[in-house]
Amino acid sequence: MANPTDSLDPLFVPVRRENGEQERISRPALSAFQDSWRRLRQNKAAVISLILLGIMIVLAIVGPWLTKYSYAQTNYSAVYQSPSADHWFGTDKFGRDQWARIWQGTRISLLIAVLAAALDLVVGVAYGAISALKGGKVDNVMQRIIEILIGVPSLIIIILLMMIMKANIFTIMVAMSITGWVGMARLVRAQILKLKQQEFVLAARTLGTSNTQIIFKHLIPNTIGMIVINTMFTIPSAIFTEAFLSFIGLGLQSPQASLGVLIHDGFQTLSSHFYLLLFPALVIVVIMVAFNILGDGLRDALDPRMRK
Amino acid sequence: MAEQGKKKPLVQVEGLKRHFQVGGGKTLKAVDDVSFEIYPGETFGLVGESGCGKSTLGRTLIRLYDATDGKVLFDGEDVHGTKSKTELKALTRRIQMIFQDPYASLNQRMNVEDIIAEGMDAHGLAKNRAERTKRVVELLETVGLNAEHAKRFPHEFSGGQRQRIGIARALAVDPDFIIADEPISALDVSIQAQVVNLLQKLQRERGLTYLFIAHDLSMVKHISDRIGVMYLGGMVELATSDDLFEEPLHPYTQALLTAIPIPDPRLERERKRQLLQGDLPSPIDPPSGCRFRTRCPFATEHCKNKAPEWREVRPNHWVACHLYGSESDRAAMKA
Amino acid sequence: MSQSLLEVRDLAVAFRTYIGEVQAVRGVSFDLNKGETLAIVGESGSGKSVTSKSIMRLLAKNAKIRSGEIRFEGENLAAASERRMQSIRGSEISMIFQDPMTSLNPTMTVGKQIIEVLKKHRKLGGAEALAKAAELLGLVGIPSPEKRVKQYPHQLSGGMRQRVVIAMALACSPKILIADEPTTALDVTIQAQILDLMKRIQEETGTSIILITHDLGVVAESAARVAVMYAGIIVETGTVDELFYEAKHPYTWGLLASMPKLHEKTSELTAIPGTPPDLMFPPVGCPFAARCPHAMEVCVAKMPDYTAHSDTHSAACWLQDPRAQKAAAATGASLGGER
Repeated sequence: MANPTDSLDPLFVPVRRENGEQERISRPALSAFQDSWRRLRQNKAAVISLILLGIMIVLAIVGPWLTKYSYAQTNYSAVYQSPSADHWFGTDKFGRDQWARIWQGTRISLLIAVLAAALDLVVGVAYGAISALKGGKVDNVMQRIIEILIGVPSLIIIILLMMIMKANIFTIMVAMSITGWVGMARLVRAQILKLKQQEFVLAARTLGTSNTQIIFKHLIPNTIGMIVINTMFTIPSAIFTEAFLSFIGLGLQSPQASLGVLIHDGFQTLSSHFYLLLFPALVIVVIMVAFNILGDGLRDALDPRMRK
Repeated sequence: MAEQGKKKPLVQVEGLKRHFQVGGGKTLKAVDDVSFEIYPGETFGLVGESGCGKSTLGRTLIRLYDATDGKVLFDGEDVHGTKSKTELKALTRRIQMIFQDPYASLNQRMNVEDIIAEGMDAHGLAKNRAERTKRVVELLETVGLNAEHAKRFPHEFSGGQRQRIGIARALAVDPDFIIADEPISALDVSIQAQVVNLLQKLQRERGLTYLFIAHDLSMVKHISDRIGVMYLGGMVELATSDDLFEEPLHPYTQALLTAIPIPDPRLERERKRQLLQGDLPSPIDPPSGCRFRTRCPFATEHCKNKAPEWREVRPNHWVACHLYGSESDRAAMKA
Repeated sequence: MSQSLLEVRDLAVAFRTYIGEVQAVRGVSFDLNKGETLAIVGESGSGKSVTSKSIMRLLAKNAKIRSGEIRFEGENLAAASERRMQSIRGSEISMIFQDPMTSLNPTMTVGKQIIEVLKKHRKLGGAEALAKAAELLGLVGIPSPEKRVKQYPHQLSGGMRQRVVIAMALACSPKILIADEPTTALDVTIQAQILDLMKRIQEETGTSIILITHDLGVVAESAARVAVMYAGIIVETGTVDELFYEAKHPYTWGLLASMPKLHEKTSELTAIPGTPPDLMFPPVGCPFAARCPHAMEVCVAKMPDYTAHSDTHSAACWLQDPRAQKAAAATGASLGGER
């Protein structure tokens, strides 16, 4: 009988094993950060968002210099021009170059948003962390303060502040941050309270690790992901708030430009010169959508529960 | 274990209580008046069902929780007494803990070398970087891993490997006493044996003393010299592991023993089991008198009125049950 | 021989993950006879739960049945429509999960949840359904069932909740009950009650049970036949007695030996060294070869076929090949189990 497994005959001998072979891990070594990065790269929407945001940021930095016109330079002989080789996005009612104004506006809007988010981050993280780490009475008082702040409608505070103060980048940022940090503070507090009960933090305590070390080695590294994600959602909402303030006339004043100011101006001539609204609106939509998709992508990529 | 009576205990627990305030002004008596001793070099097993307070007890011994009342003496020193930072550090270095969840007990963001070296860093046990790495590799090899694993991150390891990393981390500070809080209950059967064998090997080589907390009685019996059985925050029986299994006295221990399924179909078909009725009462509002009386097949009116005393009814065999109580208690049980 | 109710043939299931595809089940075949309890034993990641979820077609979105058939009374469930599956789930085949808290809806009384099932599959009316719900709770040993039907899951203890889940699963007298680690989340004394209950229910209703577990003690107590799974493959199957006393596969030997014996004194447990293979890169040969103390070159090179030892007992291991026995006899090595 022809046995097809005859070739296996010589293989019936004990296998040779190297030491430590049984504990070998077949997957490549990856840090949690590398692993997250790999996951993010697989998310096509997030990668496209990242690229779009990159382009937007580059244009916000170099855009105004790509044309010979300055964003504030008026030219009454060339008002309301349609997009052309000379004025790529046309001109507004004072003959200002719209291309220069859009990227200048994007620059200002992003600057306000990033600064506001940074302020939220610093205040919110510090407040939340202190509240969670101190615990007891301190935590109790700090949480009551937060509850009061949440109870007050933030938009009204912002509008009141903007009416009292002189509108500039700094005041808009401060006005938005007065209540903006509350969300971050709550998230950070909840996360740290949860981490404090985790076994690896208990293990650190039994090993004699000092409190400062526990904060810097265990609590902060495990909170950063959540902070980054939350910031990714704070930035677009700050851009939106700025645009809203400018749109109702409480934001920056001409000739200063921000995306909100441009949309406000463009809206007034919507029926005759729609492109004055179209381009800034497109930019703001792209930035907001991209930040949100990227934020979602980061959440999936950084969440260790999903990791297998 | 006759000589144990003469030995000085390493850990003495006296009337230890740990209560938690829960909502509505109620108190959860997680550990309520527990006393026992652990001798150097032995493994003390602590068993009980979920919510019986065994984990809380372990964590109170190592001062992760403050005691509500009572004392824990480690080598004659009061663990919960007021201490300077250095005194406390010196004491806690000698007591270490191994945790239940191999996933939550390692920090995802640190590599294995940093995880294992954490205690060495805290106590300044390594003079320089090279010595630190050398020690870490030694520890990895002690627990059956190797140098190649040092730079990897926890999520790349299997449950059993992670648990061994947790053991290496505890060993890094060279402790005398290790509290193992359900160290194997999250692991697969074939991996459980690896970890238990490793713990026993380390005990032989380093003269470690263990408090082994588990709900799996067969594993506790295998590893322990003496076993304490807890029910609803109190200890109901304490004996050497052989005595406890050959002659369990407390009705709860008896029920617990018959409830374990035996991996042997013929024995399983033959044996009669004593099924406990009902569920565990809430520890927030435990039954009066003897806590076990609501499920106890022998309970009488006397059990409701009076809590049984903790008595040494045979040499080294302690039990809290009126069936083995003083003469008046036994008489009251028959009435 | 009793006829088989469920035939699983060459079932293969894979999961897509962000770094690659995990071959969770790699060619599993078994039969379930009428009125019997079949235990599927294995460690986490062995594919036992995935197999049971495939039968119910309750796999996660990123999982796919790659090949194979699941024949239930002649009908291939692997190819059935989702609508057809909905009418089968809960009425013909029911499932009990590990965690009784998450398998009950916390916002509905337990009575209402049972009635939902009855209404869907049995078309029972209100009062009739309520009476039936109370009867089912009585059947699973819940005291004062008329009172309990009005309670919410959080008002019940873990053991009681698992009884409710069982009552729900039994509501339409299913032909097959799949119990996926039904007692793992419970304490030993409660586990004993639930196992006892399942045994009694089987005697009373004649339901076939597939018991998924990692605990050999539970198997010895409850099952008639056992399939041992490792790395997505059934490595050995037999009656409980064949498996516990005449095991042929080294993995089964290892599992049995690594359990501490309550009634014997052993100084050291026999552990299985190493860890199961990463099923993202499944081995070509026998998946246990890397941890097997008897491994031969052939085990690494090629997956062994099943060798039958009786009508009910077969194992996939090269040690059963006559050539291995000859080689062993030549070197004087022992091929017996550790037990």
